[in-house]
Amino acid sequence: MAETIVSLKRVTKQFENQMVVDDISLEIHKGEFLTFLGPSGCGKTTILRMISGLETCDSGEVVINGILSNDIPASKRDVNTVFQSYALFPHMNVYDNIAFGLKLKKKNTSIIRDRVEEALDMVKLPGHGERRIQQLSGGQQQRVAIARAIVNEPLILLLDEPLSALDYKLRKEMRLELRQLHRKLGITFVFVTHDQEEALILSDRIVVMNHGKIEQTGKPKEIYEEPENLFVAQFVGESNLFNGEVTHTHGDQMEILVQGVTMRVRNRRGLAVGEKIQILLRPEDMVIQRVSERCNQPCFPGKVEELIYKGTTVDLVIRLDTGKKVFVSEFFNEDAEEIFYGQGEAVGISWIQGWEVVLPHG
Amino acid sequence: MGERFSFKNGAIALIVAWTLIFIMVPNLLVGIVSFLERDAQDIVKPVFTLESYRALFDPVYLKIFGKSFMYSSVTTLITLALGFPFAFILTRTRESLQKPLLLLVIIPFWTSSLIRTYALIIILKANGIINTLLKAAGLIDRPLELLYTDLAVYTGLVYTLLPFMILPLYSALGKLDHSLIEAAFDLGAKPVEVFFRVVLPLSLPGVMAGSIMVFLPAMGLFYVPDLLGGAKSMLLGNLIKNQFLVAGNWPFGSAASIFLTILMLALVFLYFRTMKQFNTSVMEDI
Repeated sequence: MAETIVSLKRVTKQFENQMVVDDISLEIHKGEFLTFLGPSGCGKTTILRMISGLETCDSGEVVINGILSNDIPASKRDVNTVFQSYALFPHMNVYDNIAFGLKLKKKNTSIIRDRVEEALDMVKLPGHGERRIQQLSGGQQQRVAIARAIVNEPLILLLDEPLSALDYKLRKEMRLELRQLHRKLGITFVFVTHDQEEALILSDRIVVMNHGKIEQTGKPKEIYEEPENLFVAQFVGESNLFNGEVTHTHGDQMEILVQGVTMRVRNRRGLAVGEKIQILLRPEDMVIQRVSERCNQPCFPGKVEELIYKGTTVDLVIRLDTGKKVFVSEFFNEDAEEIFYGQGEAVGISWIQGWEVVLPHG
Repeated sequence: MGERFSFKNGAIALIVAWTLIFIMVPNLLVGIVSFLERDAQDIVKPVFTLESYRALFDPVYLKIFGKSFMYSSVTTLITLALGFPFAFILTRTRESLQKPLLLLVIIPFWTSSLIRTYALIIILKANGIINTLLKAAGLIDRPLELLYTDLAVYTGLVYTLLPFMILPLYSALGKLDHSLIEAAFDLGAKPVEVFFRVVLPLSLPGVMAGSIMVFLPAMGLFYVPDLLGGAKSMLLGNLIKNQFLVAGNWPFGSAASIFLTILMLALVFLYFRTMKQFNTSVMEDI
């Protein structure tokens, strides 16, 4: 099994009587790209700051590389942070910013120069050492912030929403670079974000948080396809939810009644007859069919309310006959023009059996 | 069109007139007098001479300038040492507490500083508050000599000028991004290193402004050394005052005054030049 580099044991933190981090235990593996994902105020940044040493925990233990680190100050931890605002020193040029940590460690000048240049190459800013921070674009400042952290060769690199200040295109570019950097450096990355797409793309593992607690920990695929609860399902990706009830159980199978339609699904959680459930379906898992054609069961009848062309996909808003609104995302196929349904057209909604996620009603 | 002669222009005209009459003209008069000869009867004789300026370089006066410079410099350093931590802590306290604490700094301004200096005499004198308390506590049997010492002069100068140091520092430190301090810690800096490598360089405009606002008045605050230092402490401010009120040598007093003004202009010029450099290299876009 993977070696543990950070271990949080029953860590809690309160700010002005509000539980920000509520009894969290977690192991971070050496070399992994771990992401804390959650809405603002869920405690993800506080956990990051506890690992960096910029925040102390009220109770519990923070163990870094086998050493109980609760009382070790930030300056003595082998951990570096890329701050959300970058926090580059405005009175120093790029070189001095990156060399800051090495100079404090009293490394000799030629070693510092080599390492800074190496770091600049790593973040694709060779020859930018003499630039002033104010001369750099947001993306470049971001790179300098990363270089300033990795130049110290930390055990763990902490990234606090580092991409949130960049525009969409740059953000996409930086995501790829962060992944490459992670592979190249081989050190542990701990990333904090509220952007589920970013988390899915970047991470080896995702920790979904809400109200200071961990909702689910798992690989991106697990988080997306097998959310453990409603919060995770709704926070990670768009989803359609249907209320239902278990009507029969047969071994690991069960029959459920949803929107007046009975269907057979797997019973993974050992639910009993009569239990209220919710089924979750991602828009891209939905299949839309013209009523004129045969509608595969289960089939929910409805009408097209809106059609949004997005290039690679066509998103539809369907109003079911029961009044419920459903989002459907169909991959756009240039040869198949039939995807352009007319507004108000009667359609049937179905999905590929087995792709639904059944959750007990929360 | 009528708006051009509105309240705004009226206000500006008033300020310009005020400045001309009460600042420019007196200064001009001082300037003119400094080039004239002294006269026992009519104060000055309208005869051009550089005698007053030559007299400034008399060793006796040079010594006074040197001493004034020393007093002002030490006062500046003490207020800086006291004001910096105060201002820094102030910017880190809760928002709701900052205003009341600032008010405590400003309240003394509501009383004339001359009266506050007399209050200091009551505290410092031989049978004053400090000595009485120390004697009552049995720590001393003879009163300490506090009043009419350098210590008393420094106490007075620092006490009077401290707010002028705190306010610009508070404003500069308030603009300091706290994440820069955290970044420095994160990169391995000890508290002292954080202070000298990040906090101090970034609050330099406030340090400069505060130092000028303390240094210059300290040079001219004649009544503090007069009242607290006794006859021993003759500073530039006292010198100027004495030339006008006691010695009756207006030309020399004027020359000394012009000297002080030039010194002030030089410092302000230096300040703006540093600020300009600072502005283009540091403050921009943060």
